[in-house]
Amino acid sequence: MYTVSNLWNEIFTGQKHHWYEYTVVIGESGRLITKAGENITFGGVAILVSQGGADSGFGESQIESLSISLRAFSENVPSVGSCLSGELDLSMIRPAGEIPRMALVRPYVRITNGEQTSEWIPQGIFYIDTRETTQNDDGLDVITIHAYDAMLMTERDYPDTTHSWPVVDTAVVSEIAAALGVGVDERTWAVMTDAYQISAPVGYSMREILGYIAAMYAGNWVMNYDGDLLLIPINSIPPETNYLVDSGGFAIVFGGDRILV
Amino acid sequence: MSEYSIDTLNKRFEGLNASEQFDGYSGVEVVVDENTSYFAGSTAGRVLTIQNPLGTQEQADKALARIRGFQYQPFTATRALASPAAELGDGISLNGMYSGIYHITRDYNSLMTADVDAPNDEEIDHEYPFKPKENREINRKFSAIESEFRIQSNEIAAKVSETGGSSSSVSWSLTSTAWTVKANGTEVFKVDRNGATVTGKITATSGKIGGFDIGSNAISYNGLTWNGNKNGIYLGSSGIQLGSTSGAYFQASNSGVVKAHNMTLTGTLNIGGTNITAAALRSGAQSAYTNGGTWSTGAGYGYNYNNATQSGNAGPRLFNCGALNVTGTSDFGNTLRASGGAIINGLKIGTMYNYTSVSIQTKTIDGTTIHYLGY
Repeated sequence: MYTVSNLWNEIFTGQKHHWYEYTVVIGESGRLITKAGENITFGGVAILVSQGGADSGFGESQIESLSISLRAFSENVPSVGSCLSGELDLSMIRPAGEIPRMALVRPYVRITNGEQTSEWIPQGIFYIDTRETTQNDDGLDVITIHAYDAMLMTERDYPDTTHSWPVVDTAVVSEIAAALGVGVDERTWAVMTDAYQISAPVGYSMREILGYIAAMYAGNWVMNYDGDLLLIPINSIPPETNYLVDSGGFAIVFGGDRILV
Repeated sequence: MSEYSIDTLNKRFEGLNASEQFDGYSGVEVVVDENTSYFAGSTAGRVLTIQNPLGTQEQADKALARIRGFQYQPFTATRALASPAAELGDGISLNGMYSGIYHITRDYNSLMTADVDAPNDEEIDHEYPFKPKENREINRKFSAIESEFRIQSNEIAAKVSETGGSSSSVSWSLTSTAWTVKANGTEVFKVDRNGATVTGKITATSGKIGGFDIGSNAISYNGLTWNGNKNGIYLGSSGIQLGSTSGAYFQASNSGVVKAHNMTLTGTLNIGGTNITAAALRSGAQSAYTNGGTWSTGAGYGYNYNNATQSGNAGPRLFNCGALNVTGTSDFGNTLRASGGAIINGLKIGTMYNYTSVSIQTKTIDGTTIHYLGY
């Protein structure tokens, strides 16, 4: 479970009705636009805005649909040794800003009850693979985007290495993560404790090497919500616990905390 | 920092379809390639098959230690109100059923509804055999490689030329005309269009060579065994046998016993250290010929006797011989009949027949009746 604030939990478990808001950040930078997608200018010059945070993203008013699919198995059976890419499908009013090739797409979500609003939490980092522009009933350009997360980039050959092979598996994972420009989820290191020695991956892709390492630990690789590499063991789920619930199935809380039975 | 935890939805979903929970994992099989795999645990429960060309037995053992007893719970929940903070690998509790989030497709809206599942589409659910993607890929690779080898086998036979091994121990050479193996630089095995040539030790306990059957302690022809009654050949630990013991045969045992149906000797026969020749037998020089019996020879043969003494009627009888020369004191205890001349020096004769001439150098004729003397 992605770590959220106490405020998030308070809103989620509170008695007041709550709902979610979401936004999508595209690219590393953009221009300030109107709701119709036209540039807002200052002295005739489009105003550049930072796209570094969720607050600068495109809101629900511009997004027609957004869906994200994530999976931990390569097939419809429990299996290990794979690298799974998350996929994003986005349809939105075409922004005025330029969208470069393979631009970043970063969705965020937060919880609110109308009075309180939580922090944004990320929902992954994706790269545009295909795009298509059409017009909606209002005559506005609508861009439809299909994007994958960084796992797809592991299909490249293993990068130039500074290691003296063989090296321990964790060093291989770190080198691949560095080549991809991503981090490694801390939960991965908690799993990779056997310190297997890996021979020089000559002729192998990064995806193949990651897959072999995942197989050694009976797991699969995915990208987490922060866009970092995460090795998920097939039996990652924690021991079952039960909470006291009401007739509607909602947890009964005491001082904001669910009651474990 | 994130950690795996449980998203408790209870009844907050639109639809739920849960299959029976799998048996707990009891074994791990690490498949390296078509011919190599490592297994840990038992098949009493469920076995996790892992395809990994870098696999080892240690990996199988450790992977089993990680997953032993884990029971996978398949399910599909539609339009579940799963928290957007829930991640792959988290646990999920749905109306009393507990499983993990292994696949999630979320539609972004104010409720953040999602289809969540732990997939189950295994072979047992299919009428026709099902192979996971990895198996199919491996099989396709092997099939493609095998086809390629078959297609190009003729070209390989014509073009291949390779060498390998160590010239200081065992090396090999494969050319378009021959395959040779050398040991310490010396050719010990060669295969070419004429067949195989081996130099050095050969060990075999079965098979055929030149029509002979190779056994564990013999080679044989036509299935003949020692003392057997087939018309064949046996060369083995018991000795040598040619032919069937129920007919004409020759046999020499490993203890020196020789049996033969017919024998022709063109040289010397040695018995007990004494060479015996046909000429010696005829001359009577061999004591074997003084041991009695009737010796009838053809005319024209001459015989020399020296000290061919034999007492009584058991002595040799000599019939129809040619020239006779007795140089020692010989005792023909019964009959002496010779058609040629006889020179007798020291002779005892029982009965003498048909002498054309007799020269008696010692005058003593003692108790002997001479017939037809002077013919």
